[in-house]
Amino acid sequence: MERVILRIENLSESFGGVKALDDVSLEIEEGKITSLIGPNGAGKTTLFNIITGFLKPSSGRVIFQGRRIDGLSPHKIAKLGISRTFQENRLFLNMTVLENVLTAMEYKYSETLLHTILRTRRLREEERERRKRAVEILELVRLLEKRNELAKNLSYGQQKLLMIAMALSREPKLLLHVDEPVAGVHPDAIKEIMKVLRRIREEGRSIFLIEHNIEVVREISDKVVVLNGGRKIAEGDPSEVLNDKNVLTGYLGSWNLSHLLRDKPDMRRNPLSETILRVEDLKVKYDGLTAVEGVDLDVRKGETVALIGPNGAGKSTTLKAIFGLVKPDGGRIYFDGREITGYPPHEVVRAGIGYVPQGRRIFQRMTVEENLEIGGYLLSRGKLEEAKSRVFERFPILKERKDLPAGRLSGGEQQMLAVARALMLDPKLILFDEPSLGLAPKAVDVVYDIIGMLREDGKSIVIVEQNISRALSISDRVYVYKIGGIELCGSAEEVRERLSESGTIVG
Amino acid sequence: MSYILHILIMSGIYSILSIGLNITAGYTGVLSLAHASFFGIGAYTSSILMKDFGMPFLIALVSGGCLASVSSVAVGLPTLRLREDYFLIATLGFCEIIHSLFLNLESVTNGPRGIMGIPYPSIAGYKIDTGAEYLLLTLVVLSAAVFCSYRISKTQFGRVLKAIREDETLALSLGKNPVRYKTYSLMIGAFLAGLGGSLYAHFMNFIDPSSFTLNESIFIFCMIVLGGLGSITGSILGALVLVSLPELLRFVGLPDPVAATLRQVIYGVLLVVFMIFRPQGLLGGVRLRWRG
Repeated sequence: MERVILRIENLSESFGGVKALDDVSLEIEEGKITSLIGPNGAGKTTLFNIITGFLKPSSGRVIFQGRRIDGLSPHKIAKLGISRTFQENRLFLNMTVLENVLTAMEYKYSETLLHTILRTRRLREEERERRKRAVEILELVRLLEKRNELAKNLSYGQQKLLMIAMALSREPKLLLHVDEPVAGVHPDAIKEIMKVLRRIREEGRSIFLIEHNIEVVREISDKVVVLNGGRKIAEGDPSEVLNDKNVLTGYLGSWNLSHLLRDKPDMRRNPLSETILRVEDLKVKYDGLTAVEGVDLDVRKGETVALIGPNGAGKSTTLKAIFGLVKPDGGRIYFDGREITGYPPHEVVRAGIGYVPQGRRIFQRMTVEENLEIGGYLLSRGKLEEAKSRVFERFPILKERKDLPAGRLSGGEQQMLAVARALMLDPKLILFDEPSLGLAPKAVDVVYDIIGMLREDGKSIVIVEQNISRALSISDRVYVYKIGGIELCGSAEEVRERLSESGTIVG
Repeated sequence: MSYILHILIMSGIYSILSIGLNITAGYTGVLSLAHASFFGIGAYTSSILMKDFGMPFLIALVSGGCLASVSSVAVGLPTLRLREDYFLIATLGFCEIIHSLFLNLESVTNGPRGIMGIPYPSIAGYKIDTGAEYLLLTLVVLSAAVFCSYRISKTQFGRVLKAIREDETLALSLGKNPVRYKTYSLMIGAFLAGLGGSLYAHFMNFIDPSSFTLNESIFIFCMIVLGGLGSITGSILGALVLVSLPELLRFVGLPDPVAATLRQVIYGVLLVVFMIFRPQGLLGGVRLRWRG
């Protein structure tokens, strides 16, 4: 009989009408590696933040070693023996590697002022002991020879390892580790991290892991938990769970796709006169890491184009580059016959492109009407009223609620508002970044009805979507991304065929 | 000679103040504009205790530091939980409140007329009333401040303070309680400011509320920014430069009203130039080595 170290009971969490977690219960066994998987917006990070005290749950309980810990502040939870890492690399960048580990450690005397100023023998002994342990830990993660480097000078993978070392230096009973779904961690670093995680398990510590690489999950986990849309959809032995049909359609479909397509990309060019958007050889880097490279894509007038592919492949980055939110490091972008490469967002809006960001990004405390007015800020007074009445006509629900703070709307209505806001300037092309993310199935239907409506209006549309069956059902053409670029493009029908040939189930 | 001594003593006193603020703002990243209030609380406490109650100087000195420290808890505890910018505003308000208390609490502070005839310090019956002796006293207190500040910066306590400045969320996830450490660093800074206040009062023999205004807080802030946030030697250098600069300007031969205005302009220009060309300050990121 295994001992349970952490028990989660009926946990729910909602933000502004959106359910991030819905009645989730699970158990983490002592000395095991439990992996948590699920698409973007499934609630994985929310769950981690609740366990570590950074969020308070709306309802439910978290029990660690028989003690209820939900609602405690993060530093108290950390002191009880739960350490965590973060998805984005969080380190004390201007301190050395060794100082990072020392800072992370728990001290008894050196954290009091009196011992510090008198530099007592106890303090010196304590410091000696901690340094010895820090060296051991740095050896374990193979960063010992880097101990005097500043943390900011480490490579990406090394920074990940240092974060684990810091969490580990607190001698936690339970380690919560998040990997990063971005191409940038070198395969050797991934192997190194797996090795370290196994060593930690050998020491008898329990690990709860958010992992995006399914091969890693298969290889390392003792148990797998799958979240989707805030609900637990599967739990159990990795070999069983990862072959479960429900899991495959809900999640893995969007995962392995790129590996299953062997053919060269099909890049048909269209005459420029029929093309509203053209992206040529786009390249974007973040902090020296290439996010996308060599992206070519065309959108014809009145066409709906979907960008699909695994997490971190660069789909959202492509949209952001088009909209001017990130500066391209190479390539050109043409819209409606002229070049808009490097335009700032307000110029792009003026040119006639609307953007519906991931997570909607509406102004929660402003009213629905005020949100719309912000979307129409370029318009004169009279034009603004005109635009508002046009949008209200399209979305009568918003008219009914125009004086309500936008945060009070349901998730679907908030997405509707985000679309309506983008429509205020009557754009020719609308970019949707993961419009169904974090929405209940019914709300997703509403959103896709809206997109269908816009399509009939003759708007050109680009959608980034993880829900492949949705994306295929609405689009004329599809670009399939692999990590860092485009793998294939074709009509929705072609892509559907290719995917089912290769054994990927598309709902 | 006594003119040079005067400048050195004032530089020493302001170094104690800037080292204190450097622990609060430089190490921990808690931006406080209440430093002049702690300076003033130390000055008034020490003056009144010695002049009206005949307390020995050393007790008056330490009491000044302690009361400043306690008052910093009063401003810190309710506000340190706030976001940084709100905290800054709260300390700004605190500074104004204390200034108006100095002005209006006439029975204690003698209001705008200030306290005159503050006695020179005497330690174990020995009266410190020459410039050289006072410089020595200032240097002793300054050395103690440098010593404590150095010890803090070289141990886990100081590492945690820096960690909170660098990434509070990460520090929180590593079991450090930011509010606790921020309160400590505010208290230490206020304590040193209180000591500086006491030294200032007994040196000038006269204090009034106009020495402890928001402008003074900003002036001390300029010192640590100029010297380099987080650097002890930088804090001292910043104090030295900003205290002696107006004196140097005096020799340029400008008429007094012009020189006074020009001083403000020069501070402003200096800060802007520094922010552009050397945002880390004169000695920020520089490690001075005494040997080798």
